[in-house]
Amino acid sequence: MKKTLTANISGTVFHIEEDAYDMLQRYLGSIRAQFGGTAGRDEIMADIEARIAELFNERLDGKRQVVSLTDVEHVMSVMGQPEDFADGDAGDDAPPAGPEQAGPQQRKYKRFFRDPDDKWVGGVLGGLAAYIGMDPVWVRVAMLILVWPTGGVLVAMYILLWILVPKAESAADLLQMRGEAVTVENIKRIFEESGERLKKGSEQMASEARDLGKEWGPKGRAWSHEAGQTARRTGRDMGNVIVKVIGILFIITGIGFLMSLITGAIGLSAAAWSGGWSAGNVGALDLGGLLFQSRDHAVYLTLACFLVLAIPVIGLIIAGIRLLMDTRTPRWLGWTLSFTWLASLIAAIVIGAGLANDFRQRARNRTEIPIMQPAGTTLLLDVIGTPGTYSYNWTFDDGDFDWEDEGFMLEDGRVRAPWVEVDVQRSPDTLFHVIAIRTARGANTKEAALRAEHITYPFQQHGDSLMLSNDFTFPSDDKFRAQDVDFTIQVPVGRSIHFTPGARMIIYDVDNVTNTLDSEMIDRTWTMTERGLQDMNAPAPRSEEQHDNIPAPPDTVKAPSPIAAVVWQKPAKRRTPPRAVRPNTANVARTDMHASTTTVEARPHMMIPNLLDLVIRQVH
Amino acid sequence: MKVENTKAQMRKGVLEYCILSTLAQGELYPSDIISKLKDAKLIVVEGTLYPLLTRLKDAGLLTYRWEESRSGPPRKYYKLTTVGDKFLTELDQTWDELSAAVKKTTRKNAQR
Repeated sequence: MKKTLTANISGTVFHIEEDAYDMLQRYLGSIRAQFGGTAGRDEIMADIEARIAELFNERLDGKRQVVSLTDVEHVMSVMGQPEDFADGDAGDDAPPAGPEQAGPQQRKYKRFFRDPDDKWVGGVLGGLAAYIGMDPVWVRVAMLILVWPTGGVLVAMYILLWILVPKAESAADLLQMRGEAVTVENIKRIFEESGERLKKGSEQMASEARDLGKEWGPKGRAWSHEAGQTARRTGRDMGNVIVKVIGILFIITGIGFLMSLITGAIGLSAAAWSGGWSAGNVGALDLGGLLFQSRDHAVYLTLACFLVLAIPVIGLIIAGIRLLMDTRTPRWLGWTLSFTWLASLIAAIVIGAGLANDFRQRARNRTEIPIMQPAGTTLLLDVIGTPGTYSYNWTFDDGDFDWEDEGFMLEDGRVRAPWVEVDVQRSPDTLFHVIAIRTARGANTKEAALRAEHITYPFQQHGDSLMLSNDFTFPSDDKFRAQDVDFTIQVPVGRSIHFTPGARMIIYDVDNVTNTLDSEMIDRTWTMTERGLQDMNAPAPRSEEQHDNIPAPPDTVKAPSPIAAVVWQKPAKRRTPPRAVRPNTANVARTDMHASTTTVEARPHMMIPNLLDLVIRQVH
Repeated sequence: MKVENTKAQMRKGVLEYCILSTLAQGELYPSDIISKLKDAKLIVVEGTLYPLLTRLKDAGLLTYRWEESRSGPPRKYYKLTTVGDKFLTELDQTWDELSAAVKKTTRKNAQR
């Protein structure tokens, strides 16, 4: 229940709620004060009251009986601030102002300004003190005490506030800073106080004061107008300094995130454009084209992902600015950002789902390659020289794994992938067999099978020498769908296989009775026994049990722990162990292979799986 | 020197001229004048107008008559006096000269 009063405005009787009446009363009082002793003041006031009465009538429209606070606010927004009534200082572009000056409850509204009258450095703390209603001395003491433990954060914040918080330049600002109501009377008082102070100075000071006065009149009004609007926005919940600090933190965090995002994006785009086709390297953009339906898809997905991440960050910054500056974000901006974010998210999901779908089914194509059985008991495994030298390294530096993959190439519409793996197993019969297993993925098994069939790999046999390549190729139109080629060489019991140094690149985790690592298996002849591959020339361990206790021979390392394995692997960890080898060494000299001198760098082969393997074996 | 001040000064001079111009076509009630000025974005709030009208009336450029209104108190309808008419004609002329001068000057500056 609200109390209502009866008021006669310009000859019309209105029922008006008490709070509305108070506000109207203050409003009219301010306007009246604005005209001061202007001739015709009463006439102007009568005109204004008549107009107000008319506006009330329009608002009530015969349906309602009582004038409420919102009606008064409406009238004030139509008529303008008391300052607007000043003759001559007409019509600035500011939007219709709210009712803050006159309303009794708005008296306490404050705004954070830097205080030019009470400052040591930038006036930030003086203004802050005025804002939170404390003695500036205590604020400064607190600052000095806290600077040390917070380690410069406060200093940075101070500088930021110095930049962002406006200096109280007009009488209206000073009033707002102190939390006094910006009424015409108060502005006049401040103005007079300033004038007073300045008059005490020299003649020059006095004339300056007059100039200042001339300048200050309209300025003060303009400022109070603006300040009033701001106060209205901040208004209802009496935002305090904490809100501002949170705003600053939002902005700092947001900018930090955005910077790292942009840096990432720049790095990616640099990767996208560098690494052309001719260089043999594959840029990120080419890789994207291989992975997605088109290069555009890759770009879109990257863009979408970037936006999905960046927009909330931008939102954070905007929220920070909003908290800090009391500005209102234009509605279209919020809509645009929300819409863009949603669209990006959907795009990312659609493209990502399309990609995932294309990996759904796996096809495995097992082909036995017909070979001629070697004349002797030993089959030699060698590699076909690859054009150019490349390295393919797992490196283990500073605890990080880097995958260096320079052998991945695009040429003539085909992709060359350097991850062939060769395993050696026991033959089910008395013959050597070579089995190629091609795998690929696709949206359905048919597609996957087709892709697997499209994979080609080089294969040569020269006498007893079997030559495989580390590379296989597939059409780039097939896209990259986890194409892979693995060979299994089946060695019959009693027969042997010799790994030339070049084979180091392709053998992968070949099981043997001595648990010798791949890198140590090369350049040796391994014979298939009932238990597995064994190097008959190596000093055989006396028994499995004793094996753990005797010092391991250098070539049959059984690492006591994974850590030891890491230490032991050290030579292989160098980025490019220049272990240049010639395929045509004495071991292969009897084959009719071309005297190719292609240099291949030894691959410290897949150390990680080996390490894991070791651990597993230790557990057993 | 602030651009806001200069802008306000510029508008201030033009505003009186524009008020008189709106009345050149005939009698108007302050709200009509305001809506015209608002359309032109010359002023935003009504409060600005009343003191100006009173001053122009006191200077003898405007006169008004009362008219009863169905929705509220009687309204003041303003119109130009003969002095106001002459005043406006002079202002028209001055404005033409001024705007031509401004155009000429600013265009020259722009060309440079």
